[in-house]
Amino acid sequence: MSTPDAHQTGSSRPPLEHPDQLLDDDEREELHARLERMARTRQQVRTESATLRFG
Amino acid sequence: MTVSLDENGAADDDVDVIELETDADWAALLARYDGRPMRPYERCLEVAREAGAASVVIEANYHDDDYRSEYYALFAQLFPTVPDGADRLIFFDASVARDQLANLPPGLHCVGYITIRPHRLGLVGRTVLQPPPDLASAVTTAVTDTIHLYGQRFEVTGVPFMQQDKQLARCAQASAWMCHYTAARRGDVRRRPVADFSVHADRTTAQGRMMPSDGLTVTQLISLMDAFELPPILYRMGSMPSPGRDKPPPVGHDSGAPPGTWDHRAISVACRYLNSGYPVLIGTEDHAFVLCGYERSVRDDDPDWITFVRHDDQRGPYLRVDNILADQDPDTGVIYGPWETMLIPVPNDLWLQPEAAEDVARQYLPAYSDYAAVDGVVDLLADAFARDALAFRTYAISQNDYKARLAGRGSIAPDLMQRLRFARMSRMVWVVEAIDRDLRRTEQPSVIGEAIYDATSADGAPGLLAIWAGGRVWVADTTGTGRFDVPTHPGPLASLANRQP
Repeated sequence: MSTPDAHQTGSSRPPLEHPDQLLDDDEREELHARLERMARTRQQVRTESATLRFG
Repeated sequence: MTVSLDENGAADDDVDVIELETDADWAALLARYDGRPMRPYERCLEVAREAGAASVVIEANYHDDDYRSEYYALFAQLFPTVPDGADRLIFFDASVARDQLANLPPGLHCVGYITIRPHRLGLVGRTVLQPPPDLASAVTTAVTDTIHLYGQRFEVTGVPFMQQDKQLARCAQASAWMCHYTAARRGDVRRRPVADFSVHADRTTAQGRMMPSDGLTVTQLISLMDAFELPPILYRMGSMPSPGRDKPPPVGHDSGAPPGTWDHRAISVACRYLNSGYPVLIGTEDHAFVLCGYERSVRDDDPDWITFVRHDDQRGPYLRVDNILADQDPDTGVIYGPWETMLIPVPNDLWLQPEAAEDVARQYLPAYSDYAAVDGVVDLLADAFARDALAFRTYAISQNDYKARLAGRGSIAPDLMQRLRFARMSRMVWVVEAIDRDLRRTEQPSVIGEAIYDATSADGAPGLLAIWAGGRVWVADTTGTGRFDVPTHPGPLASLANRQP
């Protein structure tokens, strides 16, 4: 797919491929670990709440 | 049966018109029906009065689809004879004369309607009333409903309400119906009559008899709403997510007290969905109700105290929730138990959870703002952070609505609007706004950066579609690789979250 505007950065800096590039390795790793923890908690909540009753 | 017609050709027994000028008029309307409890009906009348009702047209034997569904599933099977029609009360903001009914005056405004079941234990059926003026700006989940009266069309904007009948449906079904009817009127799903919320519940996972109902389990509610095209997202007090780095668990988490007394993270979770226009279904140990909005106020040391607005099928519509961790109705003193669960029925294709999107955006937005602040452009995020005024707000919206509303954002730069409108986006997106709290408090446009996420992406890798902050905007192509990363001039913009500055 062509990216006709990718070069139109309006300055001498190269275009950013993804804002992910702005984080360092530690920050990326920590973010990924947090998202994993969040997903695990969600699964746990689903399992533990199955028999709760509304009403 | 012989039906007598009055001089205007309307059946005498079928319609009544009442002026609502004095306290006595309202008292008579209250006394017209006998309910147990009476509070839901009483509160509905309070709301109609506060919203400016000056007259009411009462249609007897009204064929209401919801009541008819209950009649078929329940009332027709009872030993006593129960009428198969309901009463419908339609409120107007001006006087209506009986001889005007077939040709009502232009400019007449409908304040809302209440359907009255012929059933004492559950008087209030399908109801939509305009919010009272003092809560109008707080209500974020209102939808527009259409009312036809003798061939004349009226509209009312409010949050659907219904009381349980105590046999076929309990608070769980009534609350689920409120969420679903809201979605139906928003155009997300097809309408389902209230009896479907009992009749179609999964019997195999019931922990007891289905009739008389004693509510629904979480599993039943989730599978039911899933079948009705509105699969809910489940949260539990004590395990509420909290996007952002290095956040300590809430005070009290190790006290052994019920999580509903200390897990304040639920406030942000609920606000994300209310910002999106989705009602939030709350479960306590023995009750369920629906949150339909919230407002900020200054309270003690907290400049951003959140008061929610609740529909409680046993107490009525548009009630304040002053403190979720010690939930007591501020007007009546009724004490609710600690909250246990939160369930939000959302459209099918809203897969990404907002906390995942917000967590990532909380890191990307300051980094991008810093990167974009060159050539004399002020880093507004860094500036707000330095004043301890940086906050984030997250909401879901369809890409069509997002793009359509861009033009209404005040001083949006034409090139930024063009970039965002040309961006390829999923049908639904999560938007994370960076907010300058000081601007928000003075009701000025307060959005100083924004990240937009593909709602079909995975929680482990939220798919960024666009981001703007500082002096630049970045837009992805559908592979996630940058398509544009160009200068622009975004100033603080108005939010597109429901009714927020």
